Amino acid sequence: MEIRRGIAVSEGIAIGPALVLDTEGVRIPFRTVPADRVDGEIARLRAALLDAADSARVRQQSLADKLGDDMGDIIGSHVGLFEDPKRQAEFESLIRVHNYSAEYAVSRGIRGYLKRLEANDAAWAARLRPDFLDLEKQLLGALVGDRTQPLAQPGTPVVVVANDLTPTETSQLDPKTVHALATESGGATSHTAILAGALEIPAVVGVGKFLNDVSGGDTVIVDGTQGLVILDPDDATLRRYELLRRAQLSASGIHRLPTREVPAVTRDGSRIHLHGNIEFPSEARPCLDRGADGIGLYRTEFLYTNKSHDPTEEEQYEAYCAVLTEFGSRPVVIRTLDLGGDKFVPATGIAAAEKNPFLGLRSVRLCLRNLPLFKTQLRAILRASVHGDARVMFPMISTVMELRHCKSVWREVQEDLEEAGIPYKHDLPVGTMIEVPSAALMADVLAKQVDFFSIGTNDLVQYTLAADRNNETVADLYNPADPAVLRLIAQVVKAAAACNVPVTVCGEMSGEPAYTALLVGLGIRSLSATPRKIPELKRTVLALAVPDAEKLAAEALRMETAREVNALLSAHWRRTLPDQEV
Amino acid sequence: MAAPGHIQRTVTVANPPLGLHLRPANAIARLVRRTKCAVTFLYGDKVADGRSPSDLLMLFAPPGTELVLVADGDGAAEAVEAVVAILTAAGEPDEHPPSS
Repeated sequence: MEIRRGIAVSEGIAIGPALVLDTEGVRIPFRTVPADRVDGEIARLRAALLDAADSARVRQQSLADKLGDDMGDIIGSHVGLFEDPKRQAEFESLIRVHNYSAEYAVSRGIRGYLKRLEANDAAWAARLRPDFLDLEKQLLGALVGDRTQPLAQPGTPVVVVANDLTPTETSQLDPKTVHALATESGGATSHTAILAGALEIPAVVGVGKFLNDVSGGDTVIVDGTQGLVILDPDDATLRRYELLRRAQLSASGIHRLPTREVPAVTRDGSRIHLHGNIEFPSEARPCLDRGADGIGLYRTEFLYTNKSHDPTEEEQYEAYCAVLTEFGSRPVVIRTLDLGGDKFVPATGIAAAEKNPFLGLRSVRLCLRNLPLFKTQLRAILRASVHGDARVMFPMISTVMELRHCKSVWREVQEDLEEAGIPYKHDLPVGTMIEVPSAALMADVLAKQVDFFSIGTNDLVQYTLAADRNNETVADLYNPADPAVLRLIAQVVKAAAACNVPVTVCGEMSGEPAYTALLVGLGIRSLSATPRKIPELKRTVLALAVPDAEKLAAEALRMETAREVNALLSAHWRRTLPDQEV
Repeated sequence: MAAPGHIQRTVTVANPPLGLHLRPANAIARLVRRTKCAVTFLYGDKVADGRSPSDLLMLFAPPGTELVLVADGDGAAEAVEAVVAILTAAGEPDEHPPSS
């Protein structure tokens, strides 16, 4: 078994036979033509440009019909380029001056642009390269008359693996037969990635060379949530992913998903709150559309990344207000800056690169060392709080002292605002993430000092099992269903209950229908997940009963290994929801 | 000295992370072709005709680039506003959702 890591660009899991696509080697029959054929080549070029523009227009329309104008525009931009008279003139001059064939002129012309782009700004050129190669491929296809579209109709469900897919090829994928996609090249913001996300086909790109290790028909697992491609999976891994996949399918299933108006209530009447995790204000509306009860995790890091300066108080205030007003009376939990580690050096920076960033000066620790940065964020949150039901939480709290320190800074900021006569919501609920094992173990003390807990399972699993979630060589250790993790969750829930402190789970575990019954059985009544998952979670909740879930959780807590827990959860799924083909 | 219907404007390209790439170049070319005015883009010694999406792409203008827009003719002011809106759009999210 080999586990490779790439960039996760579209969530979800698929297990299937690989369909290996060789996307290289578009054929160019002749380079040059005799002088008397030049006019003929120009005519062919013009016809091909018209043809390619027409095909692109049809594809654009079909894509826009499926996914909206914005997605359609990705292909629509091709139409503009094919119809651009200046580029036509350039291709034609290549033909006239050098006696190139139409195919060769197209290829030279387009690769000439690419070279010029690269000379100018290599990083930017790298981003545009896939689109230009797509254009070349389409034009050559129109010229050579090669319309084979291996992707349009594979017979059985497959996992497509390739060096790369052009945006055009991705736009043609049918999610019913292509269950996932994995490519050696490609980046997170490529049009291919965006389209895969919009089509909801699980996808991992930028894996690096792996095609030599896969043959058509081999079993491949694509984990578009974690960004993993697993070749020749062993039994344990296969069963683990089968559970996740079955649960995802059952939850999103053949039956219609519940509407946003239907509240998430178990069969025996317990209300489970389903919240959304967001990063950008623009994601607030999709959350509401999916029926979220609120925002359980508003990540604020985007305000700080890829910027030349740290965000001003005003910039932050605007962003928080946008989300709060969209959500009205529903709660929005804003998490303070959770960066550092591998991703972030604030403009007011840390001195040297750390050897072990995940265990280093990041997140709330960074904020406590950089009070101006921290206070600016807290001020912006407090000022925005008058516009909705805002709550604040601190990430990566590892000691009681840290929490107390945060709360005292929070109080100072409130006093400053009070003095300045600036309105803010008093008694704004303050909570803490529980994601460091020390915090889980001290939950009984922390519970007395906060208004709510939010269990960040991504980091909790990582720290508890000492397995870097970004390190594919230990990917099989990183398992939310590990008994150690379950025990910690149970401990946190118990400590919180003693102080009437509500607990939410907000890591990826909360978005996997496979674990919903388990979490509810452990006592969790609030889940926060990617908005896309909310309807599936709701369906899972509607189908479960708390006493069953509690029995399941109690049994799971008696298990000794993650494998046993997995088997237990699989058996539960087979009993409670209709079996789906994996 | 501005002639009637002559506008000159400097704009900093935003629309992170790609700036003036395929989609905005196409959108701008489409809108300029619909107006009755001429819109030209200048960047250093490069000149791009606003009606040509590939001219615009050849400006190689990622976010942060300062372009000079020159528009002449009827409706120049509106055309410039519309173009500026496309160039300074808030853009698409760059990073895929992070770890927790």
